[in-house]
Amino acid sequence: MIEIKNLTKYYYSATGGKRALGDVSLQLPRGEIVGLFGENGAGKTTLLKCILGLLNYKGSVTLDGQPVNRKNIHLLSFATCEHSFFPTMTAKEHANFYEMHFPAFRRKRFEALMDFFELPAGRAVGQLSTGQKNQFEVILALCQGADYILMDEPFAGNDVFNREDFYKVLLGILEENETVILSTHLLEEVENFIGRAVLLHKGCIVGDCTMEQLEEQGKDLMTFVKETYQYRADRVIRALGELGGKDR
Amino acid sequence: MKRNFREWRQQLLPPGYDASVEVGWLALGGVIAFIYSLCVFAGELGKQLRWLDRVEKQPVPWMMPYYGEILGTALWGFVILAILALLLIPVHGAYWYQGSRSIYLMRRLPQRGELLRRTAGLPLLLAAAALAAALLLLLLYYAIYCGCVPAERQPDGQWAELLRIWFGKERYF
Repeated sequence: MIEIKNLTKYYYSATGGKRALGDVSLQLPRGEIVGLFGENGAGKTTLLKCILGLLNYKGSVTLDGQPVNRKNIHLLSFATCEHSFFPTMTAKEHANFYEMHFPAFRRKRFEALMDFFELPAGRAVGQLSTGQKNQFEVILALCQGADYILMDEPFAGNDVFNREDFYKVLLGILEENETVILSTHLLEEVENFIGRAVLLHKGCIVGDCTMEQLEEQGKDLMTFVKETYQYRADRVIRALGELGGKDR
Repeated sequence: MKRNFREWRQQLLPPGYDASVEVGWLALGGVIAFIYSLCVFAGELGKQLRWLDRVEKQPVPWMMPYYGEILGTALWGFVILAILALLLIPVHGAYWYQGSRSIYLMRRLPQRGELLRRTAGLPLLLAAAALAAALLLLLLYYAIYCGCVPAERQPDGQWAELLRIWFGKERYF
């Protein structure tokens, strides 16, 4: 289980400090598929990077009871829309590199996914299209052999069919002990894929519920998100009205 | 053997990084540094030996200049080369941010020191090789100096004088 306790993160700049995460506490048990939602700048990416130890923070993050360190970091994998592969290396070379550094690397799964998405194994990854790069990034994260797979907007730039394929494949290949934490804006698309939704707003957790709980309440994910964020449906109409009034 | 060396060298570089150009330039620099050192040392030693030949038969005792003085700036080319090699560290460091953020992967590798090794490994090795070449030439040129200059014409305290020239008040740059 990933356990986050009182996690606070500030970004400092010449103009002062900005709080990115404020006292976030969260438990992410094994085997869950968790959707992490929030507006731009809500702190989703920062939270994932803090879990991975890529950023300094206040508070604690533990992995199966132990702080994240060199001994257990292999249990975490990361797919990011910024991409973390080596652009000049081919897919085949990446597989060899991963195999060398992550003994639990799933070669068979890697080859199956490469085949499924028809990605060229012998071409430099940097030469692939954005969609293919995203696919490859996710493939690496899924094949590292990690128990906790963190994904940050992994499908940005992929078309809807591609994403649909991915969800199906993900559901098909994930094993019971594999946990996915998926940060995305695509609420409706992942609704049937995730088991739990965590909502962030201005660096704080403002909502956390399972899809079962939502179902019991007779709500869909979008309704839950809108309610939690106190979204005002008339906002756009009012704004347009005001703008129109000014012009006249 | 050649393949093994290439694979070993690749372990000291960012994955997928092509260092052949920079290694080529540094190798060329090494050749130039060697030729320069040879010209400076051989030129100065030859000049002093010709002078020694001229004054040898005269009654005035004349001593050969210190080895360090004859060496002059002969080995500085290798020092410059070592500095240039070290400047490759930030270049290799920038690679982790080019075209992707592979720094994220490197920072979560279970192997401690992998990121450092692949960022600084080859530059440090090249810098060490340049300094080792300088040391080797230092000893080789000293052997030549000792072989060419009669023992009675050699001043005492050669190494102390060399250190004084390098790190003392006299400087050759």
